[in-house]
Amino acid sequence: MAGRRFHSIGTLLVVLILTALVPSIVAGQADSDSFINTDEPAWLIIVGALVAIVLIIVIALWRMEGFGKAELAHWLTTTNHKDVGLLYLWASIIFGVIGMALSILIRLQLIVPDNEFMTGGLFNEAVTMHGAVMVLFTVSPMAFAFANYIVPLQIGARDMAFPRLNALSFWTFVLGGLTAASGFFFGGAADVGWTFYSPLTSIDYTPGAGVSLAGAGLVLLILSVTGSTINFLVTILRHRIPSMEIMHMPMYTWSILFTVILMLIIFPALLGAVLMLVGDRVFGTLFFDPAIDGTTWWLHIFWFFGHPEVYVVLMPGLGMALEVVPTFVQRHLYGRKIIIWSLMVALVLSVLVWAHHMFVTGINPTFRKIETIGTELISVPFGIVYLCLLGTFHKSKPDFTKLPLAFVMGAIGIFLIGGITGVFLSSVAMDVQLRGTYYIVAHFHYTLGSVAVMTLAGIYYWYPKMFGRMLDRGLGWWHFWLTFLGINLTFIPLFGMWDMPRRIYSYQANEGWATENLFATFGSLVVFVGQLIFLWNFIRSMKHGELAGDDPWGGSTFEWSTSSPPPEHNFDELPELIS
Amino acid sequence: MQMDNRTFWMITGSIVILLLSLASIFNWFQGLGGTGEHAAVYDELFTLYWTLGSGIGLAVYLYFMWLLMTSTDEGLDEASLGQAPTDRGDKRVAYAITVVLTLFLLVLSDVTFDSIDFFEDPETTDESFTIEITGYQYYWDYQYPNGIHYTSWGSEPLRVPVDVPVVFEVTSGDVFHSFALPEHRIKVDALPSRSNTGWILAEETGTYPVRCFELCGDEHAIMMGELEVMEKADFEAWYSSGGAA
Repeated sequence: MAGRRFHSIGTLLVVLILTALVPSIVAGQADSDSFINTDEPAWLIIVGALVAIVLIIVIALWRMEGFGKAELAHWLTTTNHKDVGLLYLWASIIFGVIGMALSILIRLQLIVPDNEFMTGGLFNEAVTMHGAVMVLFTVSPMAFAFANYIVPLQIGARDMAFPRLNALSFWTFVLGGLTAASGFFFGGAADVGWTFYSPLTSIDYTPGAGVSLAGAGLVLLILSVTGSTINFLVTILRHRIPSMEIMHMPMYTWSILFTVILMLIIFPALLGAVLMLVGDRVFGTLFFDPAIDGTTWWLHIFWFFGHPEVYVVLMPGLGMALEVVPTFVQRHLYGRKIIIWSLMVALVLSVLVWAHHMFVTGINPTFRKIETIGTELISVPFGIVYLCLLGTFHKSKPDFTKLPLAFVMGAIGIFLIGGITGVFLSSVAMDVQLRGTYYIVAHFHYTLGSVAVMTLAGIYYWYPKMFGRMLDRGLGWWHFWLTFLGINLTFIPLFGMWDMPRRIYSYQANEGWATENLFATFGSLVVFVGQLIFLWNFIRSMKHGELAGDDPWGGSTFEWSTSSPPPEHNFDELPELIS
Repeated sequence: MQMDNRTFWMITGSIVILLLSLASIFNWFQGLGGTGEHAAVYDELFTLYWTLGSGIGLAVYLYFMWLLMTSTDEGLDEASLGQAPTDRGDKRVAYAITVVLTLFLLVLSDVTFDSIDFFEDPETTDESFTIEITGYQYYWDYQYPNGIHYTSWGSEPLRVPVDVPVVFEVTSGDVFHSFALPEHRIKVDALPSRSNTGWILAEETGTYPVRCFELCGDEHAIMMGELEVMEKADFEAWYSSGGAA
């Protein structure tokens, strides 16, 4: 087993070297005077979130395995795809708690005009880290959690193609997230917006360690994502049971295939951008020098990543919805092949339209018009997918008493609003006014909110498979209604504030934004209470939920043909697909 | 028709929410009180998008409601475990959606392009002049052609005459800002080493807010100013006196 030992040592070395990079950056830049500014009341919430996280870890361990040395060692060294999936799940829940706490901070600051709850600096940290943590460290890993757990089961594989690479991906991801968030304790986290617009990110304007730490965290994340991408591509393309042709793959597996292909295209751009940025900050390179129009350079390269990233986040959620609907309405999916081809078209279009984030920056007018048309055209494939999803309900027998379907119904409503308001933004002329306002904030929270709600549908759908027990239905309905109404209550008013700039920490009473902000804050608290109920339900049901059996929903894909939770090797006898 | 209570509430709720959100966009839009020709052009465009957008949204919801009412016990074709998924659906549906949506979007693009051309090509007259505006953390620097030069830091407003097209050349002296006059529907990004053009034709005298719309640092929120639209004679007097207030 020399080879295996070599791999383990190599893995360890990579992780160690990467970890060592972090303190060296911090040592260069940390401002020791400002190590947690306890004068700010907002810190109580951050500390509260940290306590909550520790509690979640402790309770999760206690619920899942107990506290023994063996159990701990198991979770630290596991390479089984289901265990890695569960680790991703817990990690994304924990990052979700951080992201949620930050959003509550933002909303509390904006609840009334001229609020002095937070300073501009801390508010910017909260805004930046809320965006980065939610998009990159919560929703995406949540998708990886299910992809890890479900995809090998759906295609009849015993494990991922490269199990150890899978574990490495997970641990680098955790390290990356912690590195990015650790800025809070080293003189302030990144406070330049999650889009990291140059030249505000340069060492001249933002001297603290936060931006460099976020950069280091992103590098680790990209490493993790690249590993996962290769892993999923090989697994999905080469490890299916022989009787499963590619067009027979379940929709969720399709969506993960599209997700990782898109990731493979865009994350190298982010890696390049981040390395150049950290180079500028730490080693004094001049990639984003304002004198040579570095701002535009950053915008192009960042949005080449940033726009498709939205679809990276969307695809897995959509895959869950496409899996849930046919199961609960007792019809085959309408237009299965049409959906697959449409998603492929959307994938291609999505990497061609990044410049719609730069409509007002003075780029070439003809290019802008092309980008307007391209962006509008994206609504064609997604319109087709959406209508096919709705079409599945035609002459069906939907069972609305089932929670996964309820969540998909909620997501269908939320996604429609997000999609239609997005068409407004594709117009270069409309964008002149809407750019940088709360209208944008409302729009992308409607699209990403629908993804979050679809993901919740996926959690309710696959939880029985993962833990062998059902989530409590009563609490589930509370969770559904609080989440659905809360999201709408939070973001409907924001559409109206289309003259309020994003990311301002304070506004005046005479600007007419007070009522809307009050409603939005109230709505965000409703969502927050909903998620607390969910968390409680999630933890409680692991021990006390009703026993699920192998196939509680009447699902037709292979994960339902094995026991809940599945044995370590997934199937006692590999299933066969009958065509 | 097998609609239980929960279905009913879910559908009703989502329709109400759709209507509310569209109404909210529109109402607040109406309440913003824009002024000048830009606002007229912009608001017309917005109204077009809003009408079509809410029309399509509503149509989709009604269609979905109708689909839910077709719910039946017969002809179900639920997949069974371990069976390869069967494809159903008509490709022509996809082609039809593609053609209709594309045509619809191209029409919208055409209207959009007319508006953006208006926003970006200043219709200057003999009286027109250009103000150079430079963003700094956290104020605007105004430079008039005759040498008048001041900043928004001391709460002094940006002064322009009424009924005269005024061109803004916007750039930045440090980080990324965005110069905006929300009530005139004008927004020009201020990037270092780039100069972007915007213009207004103010039709009413009065003062209007100036705002920065790109995160530019800790005090981004206070990067505010005022635009003062003056009578031509008053402006002339101020302008020829070299900026004496």
